[in-house]
Amino acid sequence: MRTVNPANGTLDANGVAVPLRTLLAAVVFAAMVFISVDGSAEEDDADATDASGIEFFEKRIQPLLKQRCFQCHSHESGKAKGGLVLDSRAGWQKGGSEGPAIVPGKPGDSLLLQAVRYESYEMPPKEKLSDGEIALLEKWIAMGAPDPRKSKPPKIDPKKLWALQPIKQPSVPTVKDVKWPRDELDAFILARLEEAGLGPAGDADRYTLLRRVTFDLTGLPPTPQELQSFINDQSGRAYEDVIDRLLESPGFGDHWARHWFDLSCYADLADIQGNVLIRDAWRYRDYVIAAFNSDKPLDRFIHEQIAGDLLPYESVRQRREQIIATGYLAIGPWTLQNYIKGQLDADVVDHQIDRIGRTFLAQTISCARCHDHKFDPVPTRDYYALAGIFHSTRTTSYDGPGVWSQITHIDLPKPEVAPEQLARREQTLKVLRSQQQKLQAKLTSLILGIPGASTANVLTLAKGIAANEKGREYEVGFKAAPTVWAGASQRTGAADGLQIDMLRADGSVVAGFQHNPGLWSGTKDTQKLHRANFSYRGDGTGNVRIRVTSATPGSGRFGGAMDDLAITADGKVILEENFNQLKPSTIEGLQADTKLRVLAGTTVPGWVGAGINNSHAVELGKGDFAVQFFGGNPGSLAAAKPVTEAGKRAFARALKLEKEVQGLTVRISELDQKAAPEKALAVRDIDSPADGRIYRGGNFQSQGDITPRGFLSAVPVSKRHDIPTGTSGRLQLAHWLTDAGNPLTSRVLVNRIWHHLFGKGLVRSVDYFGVHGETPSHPELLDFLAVRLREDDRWSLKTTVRRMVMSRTYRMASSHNSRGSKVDPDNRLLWQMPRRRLTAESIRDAMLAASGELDPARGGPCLGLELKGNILGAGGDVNPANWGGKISDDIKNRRSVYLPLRRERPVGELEILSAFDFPHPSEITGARPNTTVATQALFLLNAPFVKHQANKLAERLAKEEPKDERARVNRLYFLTVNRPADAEEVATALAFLDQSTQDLASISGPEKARAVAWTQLCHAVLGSNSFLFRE
Amino acid sequence: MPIPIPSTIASRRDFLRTTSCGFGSLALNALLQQQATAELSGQGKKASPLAVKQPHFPPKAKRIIFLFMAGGPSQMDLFDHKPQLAKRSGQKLPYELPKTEATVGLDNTRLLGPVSGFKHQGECGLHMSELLPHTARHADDLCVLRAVQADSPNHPVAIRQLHTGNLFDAVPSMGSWLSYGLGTENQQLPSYITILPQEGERNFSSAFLPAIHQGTAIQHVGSSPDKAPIRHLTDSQLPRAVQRRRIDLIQAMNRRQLQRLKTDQQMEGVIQSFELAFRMQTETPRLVNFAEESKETLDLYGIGEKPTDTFGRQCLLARRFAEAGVRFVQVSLGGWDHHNKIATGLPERCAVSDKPIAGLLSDLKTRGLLDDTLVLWGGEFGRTPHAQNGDGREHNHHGFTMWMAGGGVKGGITHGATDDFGYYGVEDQVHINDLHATMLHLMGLDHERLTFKHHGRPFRLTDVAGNVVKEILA
Repeated sequence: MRTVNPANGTLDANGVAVPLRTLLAAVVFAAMVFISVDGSAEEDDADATDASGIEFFEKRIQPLLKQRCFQCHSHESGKAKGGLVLDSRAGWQKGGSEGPAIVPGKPGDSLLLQAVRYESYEMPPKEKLSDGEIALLEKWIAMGAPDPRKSKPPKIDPKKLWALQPIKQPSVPTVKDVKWPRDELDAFILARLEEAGLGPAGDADRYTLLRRVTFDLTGLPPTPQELQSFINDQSGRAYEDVIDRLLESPGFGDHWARHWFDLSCYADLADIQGNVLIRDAWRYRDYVIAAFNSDKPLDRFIHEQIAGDLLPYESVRQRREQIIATGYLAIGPWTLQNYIKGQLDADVVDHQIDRIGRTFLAQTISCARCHDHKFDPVPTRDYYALAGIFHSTRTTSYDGPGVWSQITHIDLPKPEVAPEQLARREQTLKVLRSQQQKLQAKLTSLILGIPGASTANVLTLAKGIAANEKGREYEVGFKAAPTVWAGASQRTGAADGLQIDMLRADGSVVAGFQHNPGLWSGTKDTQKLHRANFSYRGDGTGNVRIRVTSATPGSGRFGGAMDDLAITADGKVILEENFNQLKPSTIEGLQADTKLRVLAGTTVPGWVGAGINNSHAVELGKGDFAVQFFGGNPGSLAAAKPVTEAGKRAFARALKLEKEVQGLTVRISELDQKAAPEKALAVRDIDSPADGRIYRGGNFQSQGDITPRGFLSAVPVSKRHDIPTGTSGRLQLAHWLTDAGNPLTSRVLVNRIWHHLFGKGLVRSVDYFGVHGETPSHPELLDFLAVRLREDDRWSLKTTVRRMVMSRTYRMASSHNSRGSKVDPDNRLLWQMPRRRLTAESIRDAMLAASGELDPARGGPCLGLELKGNILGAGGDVNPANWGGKISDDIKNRRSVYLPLRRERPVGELEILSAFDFPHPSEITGARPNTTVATQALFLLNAPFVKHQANKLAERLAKEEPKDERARVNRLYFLTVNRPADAEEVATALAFLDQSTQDLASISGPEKARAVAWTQLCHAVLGSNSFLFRE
Repeated sequence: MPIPIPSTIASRRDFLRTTSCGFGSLALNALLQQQATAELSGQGKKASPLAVKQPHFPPKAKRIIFLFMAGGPSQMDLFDHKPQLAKRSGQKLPYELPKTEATVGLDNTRLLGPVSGFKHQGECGLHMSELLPHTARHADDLCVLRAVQADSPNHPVAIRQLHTGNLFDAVPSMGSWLSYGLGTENQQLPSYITILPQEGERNFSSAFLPAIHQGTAIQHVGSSPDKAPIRHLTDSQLPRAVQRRRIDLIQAMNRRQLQRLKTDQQMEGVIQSFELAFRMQTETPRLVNFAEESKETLDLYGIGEKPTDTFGRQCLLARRFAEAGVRFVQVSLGGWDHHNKIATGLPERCAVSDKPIAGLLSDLKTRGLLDDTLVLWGGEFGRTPHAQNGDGREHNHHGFTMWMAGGGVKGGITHGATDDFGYYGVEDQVHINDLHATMLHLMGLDHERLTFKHHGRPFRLTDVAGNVVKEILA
């Protein structure tokens, strides 16, 4: 038994009146200890259901815990000191940092008891429990700690969270200044301003307004012509016409799609390191742009991206589009090279849940991956209800070998092609193939003519060897191992390999060794080949010849060189073969596309195609021979270094010929590719969709209960969206998101649109409407807009944007108002139009527009895979191909959205984006940060891109205004800040030109100095705030 | 009246002082003060976000130099001597491989004994590899953590965890957290510098912390004036006078616009940022120039000789930045990913790095800087005791070695242990979160209190974990 700490006194010594029930309990306790000894306390669930035990708990223990422990160990208090909570059974079972707090049936082993006895921890720290209370706890634990309490439901009452309230159509407020509003939304804004004793700013001037709306709708500046015609247009419809023109321009989709990509984590490359190329990502990019340009209703847009593959369709075109749309889910920052595949899967699913949660619902559902959400009504079971949907969806897959997983490419149904076009393609292919065959034959005979070199698909050692004594064991192996079969990054097809046979005189096989048929990766098989000895037992049928050939037609994915075959028996060398004697031959119809080539006295590249580099080459001495073997695509002869003059000449000819053959091969494969199905990076349901398990603590290795698939339980909807058997549930999720009763999606989306036009959302935390998010500045307006989007405007983005930019609020000036900045310094009430810096893409695109370099071409692939060296790595299935990073000159002056995006901070051509807060393409970013740092200044001052554009701009100005420098300054202002220069600006510019010309004259002569000075002026204007900000 | 365009720095200063409506002189003052900000905040003006801030409790170290050995140096061959491994080299594995990890080149793998000899070094008798003769002279300064643990065997993921505490999300780097928590002592320089980074940009990113806290990369350490140490620092093709005139014009235009608009915080910030950019243009080249360093010092780091020159320059630069008051300096060296031929690859890396690292420790000590500078050495993980591809080693995040020296840690001790072969950490394991908690602790910060609210919740470097490793504190 325990001893009572004298310092704390005993029951009697304290003289504290002990409640009768405590004393009684102590008596009962003595009896119960014995009851629990016979083992029933070991496992807990039995006890938990025991009625009397539960009664004891509820009456005695629960009040005690509540009174003395909950202050620091409960959800109610929001504290879990030492990681321990005591307000649920699970809480003490899991325990705190030291492990379970209670071992049912074993008071002595229970940390909780030690702590309240002040033996280890001293709990509660302020005042020790009375001995009676301690005895109660001891008894309860000895009973097996019956405790019926389930995990606490999240403490937030969803009914109280504003964002989860049903949307009600608010009435439009009345305002004093009835003339001011143009749109109903203006009334909401004005009413609040009037209430605060503020008034709206005056209307913006026309230059400012056109610059603002052109950038906001298309991300580009207005052209001088557009400015001029708007300024001159005196009709009442002038502004409306501008809006309609902008909404119809393709620039609208280019710009608004970029807003979407901030949320959907778009990039043209995959994996966390951001260099694995995805050939088909661009299809999704173009889909989004087209969707915005065609004003696809946003609900439909959501359905297609989440479940496009599951939607009905009426045409091949529609089907293709809907599959491509699911790129939304397929493209992401997956760690494809994660060794731990269970973790990879869980992370992919987590990112998908997070993306959908934040983008459409502005909820941080991901927090519930490890535990019930700390403050929002998202229990862990909701998280895993959603996780089941995405685990039932195939995004990445792994089938080994190696460590890399693959992303899912789906064949797109072929668009209908005219039969005559097909026939033409077939005919061309036929011609090309026959040309290729002829040239190849010529090449083969040429190589065969090179002294000591040969090419064939079979090599046979003509001379028989006395290595077939009956019953004797022969070892065949390589004295020097083949240098390489394939790089660590290579993988063969199903049956690539090398076949070595021992032949009888009649050609029949005594024994054979097939090296490694089946799937293998280079590293593994290099090792195997080191041990690639095989043995056979002689059968006494006479001398044998060695034949080397490929095991099967090559796939073009392996190659290498080998040397010095040896046959030994009983440790004695019978034959050392350096291949001098091997004779090439061809067997018709056998392994026609695999070549073996004997090269003499050369440095033999193991493989000079993509993947294996020359570091794998084997160095041969003079007169030495090696067999080079390869699959269908032999790479180049260029690395071979023949020794003799004749050999050199022959090789030179062969090289030329080979180049021709390769040219044909490329053309053929291009045509083949055209005929092959196009692919999209997309998702699909797995074969057997099913509910998934809870991962305890987010750990995929600790799986708990199965959770039925479903959605967020706290979000009210108008009807059930049951998931039919055999489907993942993505379609139901899509419909649940846009359900008429769902109060989040429409609020969240309309708030995002507002954010992009007015600089800040009505709810400023645009991605988070939860308990710790911000509340709307104009709650009624938010609901009004949400209803209008969903009902009046039928989810039309363009209509919504149009109404917003037509409003009087949007047309306000950004002028200073001392009362406004005092009463409402954050401008939450919108007493002025907020000024803001252009987005990173707009800064770049506007520089290109000003310099005249902007390329209006749009759409299509952007990775420039046709550029030499732009595909790095093997490109096999073990290591995926990487991107070389070159951007084709054909596209490099296009709008930023059409340039390839790494899954890392943009560099090179797009470095400017990194400098100006372009979001990381792996982060869900509804509101970009807006930073001001010295590196931006350095970029604007010295980056080659800015210098180049300044130079082009100066050239353009010199051409357009060759004579009058004042007019040229004015033109500069029109092109950059989109307004005329005032007199002072012209004077400043001219003074700068004069001074700079002087500075430069001694270096480059007066004529050139003036031109450089102009470049400097252009450069300065491109770096100025008037250019970088829109009012 | 046209805005006058000043042509010299002096007149530019006058110009800002005399014609500004407050912000110009404020920016300038901030720039001219070596120890900025106390006054500024005292005047009720907005203090610079990089102003020195009070730590939570008195710190043991004021700055950190992190020697990042990218790729994962092999612990069994350098700091974690395993006699059993040597004895049983070539034998079958006496332990299980983790079932959840996909592998390459591990079929029929065998134990691979250490590729170098070990010796006891220093008074403490630290058992370390003969490949590190110079570092061995500092054995009594080293606090060797032998059972560090990370959560991923993938380079990018583990590197991210080492730098940010998080495996996947974009969260701030430890240097950014320190800059955010403590500010920096020299307002002329960035608070966080990474020299020839090997860690990838995301790992010196400030993520959701203000961008001022992001790491600044030094991209060249050579002596060539054409190669700017900081990206876009200058325009080598244009005379300085012309460059300066252009900055002045931009500033004049921006100032005029601001006068018209009355107030705009961000535009004021842009004007300040151009001033700071200009200061960086003058300060940085001075710091990266070693002309004022003695021959002895250069020799100490192995500068001017092969194969230590480049890494020696990196280390000396780290000392110069640390001395100048930069809060967090990272020095990176790649090439430790020895999947093949570790018996030749590892000695080569040691030859490159051993002397410069020892030189750095000596130099810091001589200058009295080691007492309050924490030096951390290590990679994102270590390597396996078993062979990969026959003669290399695979990644191992289950137990590997890092070491600390200087500010506030016990020297000449080891902490933690791996199993008999060096594969799994079995005793006093230090998780990356613990490492971070300890580093912050040494810098005077409570890792549970250094938080930043983002997406509706407070974030920390250590997420929801991390314990200070009290046993190693001096």
